[in-house]
Amino acid sequence: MVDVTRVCVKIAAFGAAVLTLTAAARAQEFPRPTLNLYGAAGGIDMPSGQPAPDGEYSTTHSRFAGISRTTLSFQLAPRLSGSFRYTGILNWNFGGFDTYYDRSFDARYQLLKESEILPSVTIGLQDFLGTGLFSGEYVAATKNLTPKFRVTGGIGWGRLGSYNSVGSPFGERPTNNIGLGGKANYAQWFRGPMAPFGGVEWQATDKISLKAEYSSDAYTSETGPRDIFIHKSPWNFGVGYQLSERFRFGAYYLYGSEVGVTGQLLIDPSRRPRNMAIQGMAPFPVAVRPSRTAQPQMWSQDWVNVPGLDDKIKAAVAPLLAADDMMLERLTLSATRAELRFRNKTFGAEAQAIGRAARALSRVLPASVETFDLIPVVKGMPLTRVTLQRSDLEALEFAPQGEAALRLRVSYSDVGGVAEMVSDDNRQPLTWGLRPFTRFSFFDPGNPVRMDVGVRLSGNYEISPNLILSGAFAQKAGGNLDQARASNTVASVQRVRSEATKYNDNDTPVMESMTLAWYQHPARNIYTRLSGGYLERMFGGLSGEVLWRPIDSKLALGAELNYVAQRNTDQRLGFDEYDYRVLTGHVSAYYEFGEGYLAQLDAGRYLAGDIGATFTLAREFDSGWRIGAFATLTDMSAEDFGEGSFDKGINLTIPLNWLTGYSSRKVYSTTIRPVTRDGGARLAVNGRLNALVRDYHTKRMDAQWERVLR
Amino acid sequence: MGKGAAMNWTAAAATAGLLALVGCGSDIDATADSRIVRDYLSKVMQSRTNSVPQITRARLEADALPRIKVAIDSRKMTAILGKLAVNGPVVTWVAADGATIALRDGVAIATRGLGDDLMSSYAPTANVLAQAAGTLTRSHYYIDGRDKGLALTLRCEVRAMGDETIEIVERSYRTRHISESCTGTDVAFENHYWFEKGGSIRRSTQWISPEIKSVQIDVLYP
Repeated sequence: MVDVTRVCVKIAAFGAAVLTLTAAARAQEFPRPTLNLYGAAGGIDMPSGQPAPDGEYSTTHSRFAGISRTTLSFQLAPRLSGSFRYTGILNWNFGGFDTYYDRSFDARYQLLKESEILPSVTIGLQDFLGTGLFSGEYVAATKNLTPKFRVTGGIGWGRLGSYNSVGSPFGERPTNNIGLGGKANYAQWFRGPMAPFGGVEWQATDKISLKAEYSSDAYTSETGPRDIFIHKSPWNFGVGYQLSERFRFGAYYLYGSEVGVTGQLLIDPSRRPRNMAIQGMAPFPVAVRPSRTAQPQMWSQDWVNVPGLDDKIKAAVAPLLAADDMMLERLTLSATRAELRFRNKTFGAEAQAIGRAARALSRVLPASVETFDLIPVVKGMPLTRVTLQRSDLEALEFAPQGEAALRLRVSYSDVGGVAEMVSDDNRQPLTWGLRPFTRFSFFDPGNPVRMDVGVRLSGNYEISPNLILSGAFAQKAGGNLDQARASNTVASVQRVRSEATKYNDNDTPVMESMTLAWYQHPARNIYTRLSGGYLERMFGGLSGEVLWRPIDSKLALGAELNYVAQRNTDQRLGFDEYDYRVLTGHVSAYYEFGEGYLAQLDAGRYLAGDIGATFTLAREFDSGWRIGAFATLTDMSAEDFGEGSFDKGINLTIPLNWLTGYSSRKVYSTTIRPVTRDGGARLAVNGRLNALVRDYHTKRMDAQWERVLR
Repeated sequence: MGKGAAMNWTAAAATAGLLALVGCGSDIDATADSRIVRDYLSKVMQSRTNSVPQITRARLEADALPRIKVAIDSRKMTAILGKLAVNGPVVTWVAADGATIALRDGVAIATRGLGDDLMSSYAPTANVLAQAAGTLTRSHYYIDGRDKGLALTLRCEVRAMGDETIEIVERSYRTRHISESCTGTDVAFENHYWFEKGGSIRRSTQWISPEIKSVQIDVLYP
């Protein structure tokens, strides 16, 4: 029996030494780690002490002995990373599961950064929220001895302490009351038998690395009565192959009896993929005015008095904007100043739209107009006034690093409280789209991927720029979303999101939404939305929202109130199937810490009538990539909530522009939840204000300012 | 289940293909991806069918419009460009596909619409080059994958290579050949300029960016 006190004292002393030395250690670049079968930085089946490169997002799929693991990992901060994993085990034959599927979460924190002398040390929790079947905790240290050779040693508990343990320094490991899952099993952490593990990795060539490791996982549950495989040896061997910057494969000989394989997709969201340059048409160049001294008549301000000239100018500017699929909403002219309100439907980089609009004006406006106020408009809301001087544009168009110089001469200001939008004739009030759609459900308890395909007809009719009627109709062509496992429910809880299967089970056309929405920017920093109608697939009613968001603020506050009724599952007009009405709404705080770290807190009443709050933490890259995790705690008990105990998940947003290099404002967003239940469910109304408004505020505009002269 | 999953992925791939091609309508938001895929495909088709434009002196004389020819070896593309705009000494030339190159007295200082564009540069003037006056510095500015500015600083050696007679579209020009060999971090290239008597550049090969590499620019007319 190990003396607990002595172990603790030793660890503390080691910690103190480590901290002292860290300060002295020189920052240094070490080779990036490779991933293990769990999709975490590590050896073969064991973790290592190194973090992945900051911001890296990876998807790992691995298989051996009928065990498959699909893991999404994200290095949220330089020292902090998390993973979501979907595991399938064939022939588990337990509790009615033939193939057993389970979802789990990991969290890892780097305690010590690697230096010339000291290793990188990481503390990790594996499967700390799920059913606990894969639970293990560890502290691992990794040192790159040479640029091509690294060695890892660690100690593990739980699953990672199950082979050849050396004692239980922190007491017995209590039995995990799995219950409904989803709760942090902290009573177990670092308890019970502890065992050492370790491994080495040699980068034999640029592409090939060889690994060997000693595993401390005895696979007790898998090798015992279930006989999924035979654990003959703790030694694992493998080879990794880096196919390209983003793809990596591995093959392994595991536990003296099994062969395993893994494929990994590694993405650095902060960078466009290599060789994926910014595509798209060149801009119209700036048209430079003639010299004032040489041609003073060109600079005359008399044009102001020429009747009808405004309209002619407008008619000349509009096609220049239209060449970039942008739209002139309003052009107001005076002898020396022009205010252009325009809509950007093309450029994911907002600054690029500003630059294009400025150049379009330079090509048409009389020479006396020196100041441009460029106002991007979204849903009729003028979002920011970008003021720039025409002479700066002329002078800096080809100046070295002209865009940086231009930024210093540009100012942003709020446009709130200005009179109602005047709509122009060249507005195209009706737009529509007909296209196929796919709807996915990932990692449900019975199948890793479920999908429907079909056709969607969508349309918008603008009664005025800020009063918009929109609708979407869909016809499913096929799929298996309607076969998703029906979840167990509690009679006292209103079934809201858990009814998704029924809403997906329609072979006739459905009306996904049909809403009238009214947007306003009535005063400085204040934005409002009022929507009514069939707001989403499952609910219809009224939704109102107010947002306070100064253009350069880190903090924004919002409030939303909805009165909605549950729609019939056939998604036609009726509400009688459930006869359920609910007043739901939230107050929200949005905060930007800088460096792309965003937090959001929403507190209020959810669709099933439960009261609580959702906390979301996200990392956003300048490209628009965003990865976030959220958790919702409400007064609905874990028993009422059911499997998973509370609502949580991961949000992922990838701009099409990042994927292809082509200009587009389209983003692909998905939310992955371990289980979708009825507690903590929010209304999915379209056009929430924060996302619409924020894109054109200082922070996002500057994030891609480099493209202003692109 | 395995079979079901496989079918899902086949269906997903098929649907993705479908999405790419059949989306239609006037709503840009809803159909952006279809448009991009179609643009891309048409670009690929175009580059396959791109051949060296046949141009004659007679045609140039008849049009009497400023024309340059730009050949991008790395893309196997050649295009005839026309004058689009003038900003002081800088002329922006445009190709039929909408890509532009900005030349300051014949020295390439920026491109747009080529992909790995030269966003701006601190480059020697034609006068300085013509003097073949030894060492100078150059800076090229790009947008990197993080949407941040990327500067490439180069030291260049300019040398006179002697008199040469070159031919461009049925006409001979007596020129002075000047070379500029540049080295920077991870990059090295040589630019060449053929100056006419009046000091204007008739032909040049100039390095643009790591991906595009060097382009040849011939002044066809005037």
